[in-house]
This record gives sequence, structure tokens and C-alpha cells, in this order.
Amino acid sequence: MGNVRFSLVSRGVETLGDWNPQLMREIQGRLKLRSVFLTVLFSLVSQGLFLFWRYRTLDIRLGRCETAEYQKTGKDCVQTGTHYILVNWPEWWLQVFAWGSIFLMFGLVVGGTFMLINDLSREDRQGTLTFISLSPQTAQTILLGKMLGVPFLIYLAVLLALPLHYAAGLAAQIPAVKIFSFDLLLLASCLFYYSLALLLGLVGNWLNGFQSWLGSAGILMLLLLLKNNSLTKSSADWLFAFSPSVMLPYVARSFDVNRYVVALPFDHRNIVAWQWFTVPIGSSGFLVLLFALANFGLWAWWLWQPLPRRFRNPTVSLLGKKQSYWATACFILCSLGFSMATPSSAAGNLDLKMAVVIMAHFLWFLLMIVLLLPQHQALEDWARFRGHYRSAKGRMQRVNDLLWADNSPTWVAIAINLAIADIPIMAWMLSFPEQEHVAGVMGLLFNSTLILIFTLFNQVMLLRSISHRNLWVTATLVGPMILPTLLLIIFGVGPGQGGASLILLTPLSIAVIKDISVISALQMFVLHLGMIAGLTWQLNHQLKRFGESSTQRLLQRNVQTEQG
Amino acid sequence: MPSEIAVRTQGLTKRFGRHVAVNDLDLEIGSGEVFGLIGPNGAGKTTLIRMLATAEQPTLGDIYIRGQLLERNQTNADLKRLIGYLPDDFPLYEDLTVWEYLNYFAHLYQLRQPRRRQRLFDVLELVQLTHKRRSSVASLSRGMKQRLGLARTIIHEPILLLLDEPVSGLDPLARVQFRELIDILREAGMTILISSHILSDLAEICTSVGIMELGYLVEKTTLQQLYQALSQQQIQIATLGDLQPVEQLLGQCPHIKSWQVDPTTKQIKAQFQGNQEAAAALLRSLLAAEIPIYNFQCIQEDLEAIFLDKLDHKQVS
Repeated sequence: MGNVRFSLVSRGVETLGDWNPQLMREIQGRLKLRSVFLTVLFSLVSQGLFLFWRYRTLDIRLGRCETAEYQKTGKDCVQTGTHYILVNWPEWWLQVFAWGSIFLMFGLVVGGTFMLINDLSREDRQGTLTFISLSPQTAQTILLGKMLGVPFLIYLAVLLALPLHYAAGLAAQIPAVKIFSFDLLLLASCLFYYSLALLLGLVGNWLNGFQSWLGSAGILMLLLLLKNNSLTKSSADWLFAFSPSVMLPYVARSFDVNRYVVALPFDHRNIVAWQWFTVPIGSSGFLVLLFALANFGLWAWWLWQPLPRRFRNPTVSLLGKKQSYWATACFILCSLGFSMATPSSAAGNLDLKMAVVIMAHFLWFLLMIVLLLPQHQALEDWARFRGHYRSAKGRMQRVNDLLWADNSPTWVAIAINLAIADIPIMAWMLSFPEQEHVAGVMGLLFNSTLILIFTLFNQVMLLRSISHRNLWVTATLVGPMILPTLLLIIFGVGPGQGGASLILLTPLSIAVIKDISVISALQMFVLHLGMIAGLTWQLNHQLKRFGESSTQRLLQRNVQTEQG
Repeated sequence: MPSEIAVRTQGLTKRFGRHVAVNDLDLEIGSGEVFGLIGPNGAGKTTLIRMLATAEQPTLGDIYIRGQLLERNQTNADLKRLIGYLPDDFPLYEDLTVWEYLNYFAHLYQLRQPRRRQRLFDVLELVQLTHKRRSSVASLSRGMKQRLGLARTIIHEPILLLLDEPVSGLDPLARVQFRELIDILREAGMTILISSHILSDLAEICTSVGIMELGYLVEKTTLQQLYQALSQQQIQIATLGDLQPVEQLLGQCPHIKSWQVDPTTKQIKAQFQGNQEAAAALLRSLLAAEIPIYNFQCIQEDLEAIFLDKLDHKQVS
């Protein structure tokens, strides 16, 4: 059996169970002698190997301290007098601390998300999650238990590495409070990424277990992407707030002029110019910490909105319509703030800022379409039992449903979300020179109508009786986005060429809008509106059909037969 | 009849696309009843049970447990404490021991010490798994796993037990053990809704039955009333001699409507409408005619025969 039978531990686990039964179950499932032994061994051996690796790179050991070149580059040796060369141990420990912190970050964030997605999707596939959801425990209790319990062995390994982490930091003359601030941000990032992992685990079971690899690899790529990137003074800078490594330069004294210039891993030295609504948050480590904590907190809170909904009822849309309006407002507030960094007069910079805002806007709305998407059955039931509103009061109810009810079609809600997002973006664009702001506003308008077309197309397609629904959701969103772009590339249509106005049918309209005549743009806009009108008619027609009772259908068929 | 209503549904409907799995179903089950749900595959039994267990949301209609409305998209914590649900194919946590598994569910249902520990021992004893409490769930036989599933379902002492095909796939001995367990739970006062294809099992444990077809509850009655209305009495007669004199006498008996002869076993099965005295008189007349009778048995048509012969059911899957 091999179970660890420490009575003290068991008693502790029981007490824990009274607070959170799921946490108890997860710990009990993992507290096996073999797993614990292997984890402890892995953690200690990894730390040993890590220290050995750092020791091997010591300049003095490699005999590089005495060379003339060394004096220029200034590594971790200090020359005292004419003959004595000493190792600059604080500098060496700083390297150990920085590398160790990065490993901790990847281990905790990437490893933890993989385990959580994997565990939840497995439980979902096996059907055990249903039994837990039938218990009187709240979804929050269960999911929190999962979050704290599933990566239990990772926590154990990290706990064993903490003494080295703190010892290295203190030996590098970093105040304990600074080390703690980095750890606090790391914990906040875990809260965010683990919440994301829970959501991916709950919604992604159609990927047959692949979602754990996909999710954790995506997060790994994001963290790695931020390794060397410099600030763009656009909404893209917001991404830095999603990496705990942003705090590292402040902790590791990267800006200390007296420090030897040694490259540290994930040394976001340029983060010092980080701004949000022109507030220089990068000017102090404390502001960065506060902003990143608030950012992780806010978006973790948003991730916890769909989690209990989906846990309780797997057929409900991930986000309520009312929630989506607030979420869009938060998104615009966060992302636009980074584009409002100290204005630059350079046109190129403005173009980049606008392009980033419009692309972020587009990606956000693709996400919104997925989050708001009601199940086929919910739409059918809505059309069948509540879709017929003939009286004035009924029509009011229909409008109310389209605005607020979770099981109604989503295009009205998407349109309102577009208004919430577009008004502040347009206001921001109007502060640019005229030529720039006209192009920006036009690009945004084309983008918004395109999103409406995608929403309607997606809904029309998904109202058909189809199997593999999730694949269709992906196909109906990715297909219209990629196919036209691909076709234009194949036929060699690019900005400044004939037929460039066709690019307005893709999300890349901002790239060509300046080169297109007003007439062509107007024609394409009318085409967009025509597509919206056509798809709305088709959607309403489909909903009306679903709204018919069986008797109505039967009678209709009989009439058709008689006529035929 | 019990006075208090344990479960009540009002216009309960569940649609899957155009298919109506449960259609405008009104059902009342009194407290302490053992209600058997029978019907062909696809009749909507499992969907009904899943809706009552809060595992499925109804399209329309309401469910009341002990008079309290089950709210949609809510945790319904108080009501969930009253319900125990055992589906036909339930997954278990194979990485836990029997004790850990039950302890986990006891925690989920907010049982506190010292009651929790006592309840765990009681339930383990009831399902005869006390000796297996330290064994891994993965090492249990199918019958044991089924009993563990039942133990998990009743750990929090629900007042309503929903069992969907609980004996399917079990060997005869395990079925008998399971039936005995249901008897004990009935005596303890639980209201039990049970669906099964093995109608002989239902006949032995149910106080009333409901028959579902195409999503409708077409019949709901006590077992006694069902037998009275639809079950026929039969007399099985076996002789060592010729069957002809037996048939002659049967033809003279006013209580015999018809009979079937099995010439190979020399047995006759006669549809009988009389009482016990009339049956005794028939036996006397057979013996008086010196027919070498070696078997004379009054039998009642069972639930399976009623279901198969008397009800015009529609198989939908």
C-alpha cells in the first residue's frame, strides 16, 4: 500500500477536512510514501545540481579573473591589492538567487497549471466531478481545495527550496522584505494562473487531455516571451503585469549604479519606464508590486466568475451578460492605460499603439464570443418557451432577455460590449492628429462590425444540430478570421495594391485603412452592414423555427404536403 | 399511505433538442415509500432521476423536496443534504482507501466529529465492508464497489434515496445482498426511488410503482392495486398419466377460463379466476378422478409478466 501513516499528519488532515473537504481529499490522495520520498529527493537533488551548475560558472574557477579582458567586463571576482583576487560572493549569490527565483516561478506556475488542468479534466472525463457538485459544498470551496491541494507535491518541493532561496537572497545582501515582496507576487501570480487552469480544466475536456499540455505550454510561452522584450508604450506593455519576474530587477538591485554590471536572468531593466495612464509605476518597486498585485487580483476575481457557474451547471454560458459588460470595462481600463503612456509625437509610434489596441480589442471580443456563448439546447429552449413575444409587454421582455438573460442569443450583448469598449478607445484616438485619428476610428469601426459578423455567423452555425460542438465553435471563429487573410496572401493582395480594400474583410483593416479611398471603404462598410443584416435575419428565422411547437411543425408540414 | 410528501414534481419537462425525454410529468412520492420506476430503455427514467438528484436542470417545471422548491442554478445546499443519488455507472476514486473515500464524502456532506466516525463505522457495517476499510478502492470486487457506492450515497442519512439501476451487472448473490440492504434502509424510514430492469427485484422491495414510456408517467399505483387490476392467477398442474382427463375436468370447472398444455413435461397452465376454496375443490375433483397428480400449484402473474404482456409499451432505444 505504501501509505504514509503519520497519525499527527492524519489528524491535521482531518481538521483540514472540516475546513475544506476537497483539500483533505487531494492531500490524502497525494500523501503516499513513494510520492513524498520522490518529491523530497527531487527537490534536494535539483537544489544540489543547481548550486553545482552555478559553482561551475564561477569566473575564478574558470581562471578568467586574471585575464585583461576580465577587467573590462567585470564579473564575479574582486581584485584587492595587486595580487589577491577574491570571489565577489554577494554577486555570485545574487546570480543564484535570481536564477533560483526564475526556476521557482516556472516550477510553481507552469508545473502547477499543468497539474490542475490535468486533474480537473480527468475528473470531468471520469464523471467524479458530478458527485462532488451534488454535495452541499459551494463551488468555491471545492475549487479552492483543488487549487491548494492538487499541486501539493510542487508546494512541498518549493517549501524545501525556500531555505536556499532566502539564504541566497540574504547572502546577496537583499533585504528579507524585498525577497518576500517577490514571493508575494509569485503567490498572486499562482492565484491567477491556477484560476485560469481550473477554468481550462472545466471547459477543455473536448481536447481529450491535450488541454493540460496546451494550457501550460501557453503560459510557459507567455512567461518566456517577456524575457527580453522591451517596452512599446502601447497596450502590449500590460503583458508585463502578468509575469512575476517583473519584480526581479527591483529585488536584485539591477538599477543600482554601484553594482557590477552582471546580466541577470529576466532582467527587465527597461521596466523603469513603465507607465499606466501616465502614472510612472515603473519608477519604484513598491508601485510595480502594488500594480501587479492589483492586476493579478482583479483578473483572478474575473476568472472566478465563470468558475462556479460552470462547476454547478456545465451547460450554462461561462459569463453572464451583465458580467460581460463589467469585464469589458475592466479590460479597456487596464489595456488602454498602457497606451496612454507619455504621448509620443512620432507617427510610427501612434500607428503601433493603435494597431495594438485594435488587435487587443479584436482578441478580447473573440474571447467574449466564447464566454457568452449559450448552449444549443439553452437557445432552443429560450426560443421555444420564451422567444414568442407578441404583446408590447412581451416585446419588452424579449429586449430584457437579449440584454441580460444568459440563455438568449448573444449578438445584442456583444454589440453593447462593443459600445462599452469603442467609446473610450475612440475618445483616446481623437486626441491624435486628424489623419491618425480618422484612420484609427475607421479601423476600429471595421473591426467592430467584423466582430458582429463573427458573432452572428458563429451563432447561426451553432444553431444547427451538430456533433463536436466545441470543434465547431473553434472552426466558426478561427475560420472566418484566418481564411480571408490566407486567401488574400495566396492571391498576393497587400496594402497599396489593387483589391487592398478586401483586407477590410479581415481583422487587419488598420494596416490598410490609410491607403484606401473613401468610396472603397464606404463600399466595404456597406458590405459589412449587409452581412450583419443577412445573418441577423437568418438567426431570427432559425430561432423562430426552433420556437415552433411540435404541433405547429406538424400542421405546417401537412399544409405543405397538401399544397404539394 | 404515508401522509407526508417526500418528492413532488410539477409539469417537469426535459428536452434534448427536439426529443422530449421527460414530458410534463407530475409525480408525488410519499415519505417512507419505496417507489419503483419501470419502463423500457429511453423512457426517461434516468433523466427523471438525474433531475431529482440535481444532476440535470429541467427545461420546464418544478421539483419540491419535502415541500421545498429546488432552485435553478443555485447551490441548494439544504436540499442536497436530503438527497442521496446512486447512478448505474458511478466512478470511484481508486487512489483512496475505502475509509478515506467515505470519510471524504462525510466531510463533503458536513458531518462533524464524533458523529462522523460513528456514522462511518455504522455504514461500513451495514454494507459489510468493515473488514475492507483499509483496502484500496481499486482492489474491491464489483459487488463490493456497488455496496461502497451505496454507503457513499447514504453516509449523510438522506431522506430521499435515488437509485438508478443499482443491481445491473451484479451476480445473483450480490443482488440478494443489495436487496437486503434496501430493505434495511426502508425500515429506517428512507424514501427510496429505484429504477431497475430486474422487475422481480422491484416486486420484492417496492410499495408502489410508476411506469414510464416515451417520457410520460403512464401509470402510478401501489403494487397491490397493480396486481389486483392486471395480474392473473394461474394454476400449474402436472400429472404422471394422460392429460386428456385433466383437460376434461378443467373444461367443467367454471373458474377456469383457458389453459395451455406442455406435452413434453405433461404440464398444464390454467388461467384461474376463483378463490382458494374453488382451487381446493378443483384439486379434490382431480384426485377423485384418480388422476396421478404430482404438482398442483397456484401462482400469481409477476410484475415482469404484467409489464411484458399487459402493458402496451413502446421501446424507444
